[in-house]
Amino acid sequence: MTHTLPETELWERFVSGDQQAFSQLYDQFSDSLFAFGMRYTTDDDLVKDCIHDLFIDLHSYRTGLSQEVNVKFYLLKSFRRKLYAAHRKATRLRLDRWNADDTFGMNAFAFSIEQEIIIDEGQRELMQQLAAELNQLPERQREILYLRYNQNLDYDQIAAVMQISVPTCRTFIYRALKQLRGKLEFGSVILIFCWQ
Amino acid sequence: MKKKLPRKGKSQDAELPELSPEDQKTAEATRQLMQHIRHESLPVTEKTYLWTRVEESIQQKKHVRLNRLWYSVAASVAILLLSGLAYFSLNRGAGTAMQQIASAAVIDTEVTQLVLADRRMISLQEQNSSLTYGKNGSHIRLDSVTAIDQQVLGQEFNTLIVPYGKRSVVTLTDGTKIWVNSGSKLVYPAQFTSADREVYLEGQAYFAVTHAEDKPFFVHTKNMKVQVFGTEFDISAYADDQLTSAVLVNGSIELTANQQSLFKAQKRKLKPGMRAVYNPGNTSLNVEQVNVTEYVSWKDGYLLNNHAPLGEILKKLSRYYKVDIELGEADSSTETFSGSLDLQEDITHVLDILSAATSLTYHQTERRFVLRKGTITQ
Repeated sequence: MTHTLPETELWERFVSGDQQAFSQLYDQFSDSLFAFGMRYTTDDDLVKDCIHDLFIDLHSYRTGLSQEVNVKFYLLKSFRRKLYAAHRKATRLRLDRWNADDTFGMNAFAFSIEQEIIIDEGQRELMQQLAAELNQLPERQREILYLRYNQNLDYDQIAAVMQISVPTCRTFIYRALKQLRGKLEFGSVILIFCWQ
Repeated sequence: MKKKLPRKGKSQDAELPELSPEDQKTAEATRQLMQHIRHESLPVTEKTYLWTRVEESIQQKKHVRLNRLWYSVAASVAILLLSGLAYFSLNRGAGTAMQQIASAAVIDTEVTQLVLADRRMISLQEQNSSLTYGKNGSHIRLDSVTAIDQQVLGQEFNTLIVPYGKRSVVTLTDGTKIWVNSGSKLVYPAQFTSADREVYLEGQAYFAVTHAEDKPFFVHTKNMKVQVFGTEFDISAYADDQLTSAVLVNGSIELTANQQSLFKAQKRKLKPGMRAVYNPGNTSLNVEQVNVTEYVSWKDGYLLNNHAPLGEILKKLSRYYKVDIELGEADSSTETFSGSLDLQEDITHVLDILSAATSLTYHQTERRFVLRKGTITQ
């Protein structure tokens, strides 16, 4: 196998027509795109179809693509748009439209905190409580926290991905965090950080 | 205990100065928790298959024009058959149909390609790829990691296109195994439904045909037809070679030249160890006793030569490695070489050995090699 190139170099080579770079791009990002897609739906075939379409588009339009992009952000943004379009198409086709849940948002998370060696019982309990509260949040808020704290996107990027304005994005995060803190016992949040 | 909650160096939420210290802490706890989200993973086989689908779709876009040609070829073949103008026997018909398909297929890709009955194109990435057909030809295993399915109703043809620099091994529904050499096209039915088993070859392939008394096996080439009685043999019928040849390892085969003179058919039975060379120029078919290993060693990854003309060897090497090799002086092509060349090695290594044995030196510019006599061109 060829060695892994840094993202930016890989992208430049892909845009300038390197077929091998294109296949490496797929190798490097298809797994995380799949995982990302499965955050929004449980239909893995739909996610795979969207990955397929995304890479076909990338290949067809590569000559027009910018050389300098944040690759991960660009892919997430384009991919979410594909997922959203596919989701809308699927719900529009459904007969019971009025019953159909046509909001597009993020599913509840499953965490693997048990696997981590969290020695302290209280701390584990708190993490579980936080996890439960996180899953109680509205889908959009959950999504925004995910993009911020799991994908590590900045506010400009999140706003672009979710197609909202930057101030809205800030407000969303602010509100989500406030809500989480309100639900959790104030003391216990402090408790976590006493251990540091 | 400190290790699970690493101290944040600088707050990554500096962008939100309006957050209270408690909110900052909630944010930090959320970040930590988010690192433990259980993600769905994409199984390797599905990842590979999805990539094949991507490549296929790209190829299909590229080959729209080719496909149109394909349709018209198929249509004209159908019309020819339907109109009753087809005067050749059914055997001849299948061979012709397959030849048409083969000539419509273009070797213009870097990777080996399989064209299915429904005109889907599957790319095979491996240098030496393998395909195995299931019982009725509808299920195909690729490189023993992925599998694809196609609908097989009757006698639908599949085409394997192996570009220069690649090789492929196909196992057909009847268990017949075919090693296809670089720069070759093989057309065959996805399953053998008719009375005869027939395939079409352009290029070179080694056949290990499963014996079936009631179903004779035919290999059609542009200039020659080979009837097989369960056996192992090699056929070389490259479009850019003037001669078509067959080498029999064991069993028995019968050759028929396609270009028949009105009164006598050029037919010849071969015995093991024999090589038949057909020259369509003067319609002569010559048979000689040979050391078969020299002709079939390529399938095992080496090239055995016994006083083989240098020109011939270089032609084989340039196909195998997909490089241009040129002989600087015309008379050097009459030079011969004896010995074994390991095709697993790099081309430069192989040429090193050749030049050492023949007092030639070579000069390389990218994928192009020029061999010259004696003088050092470095």
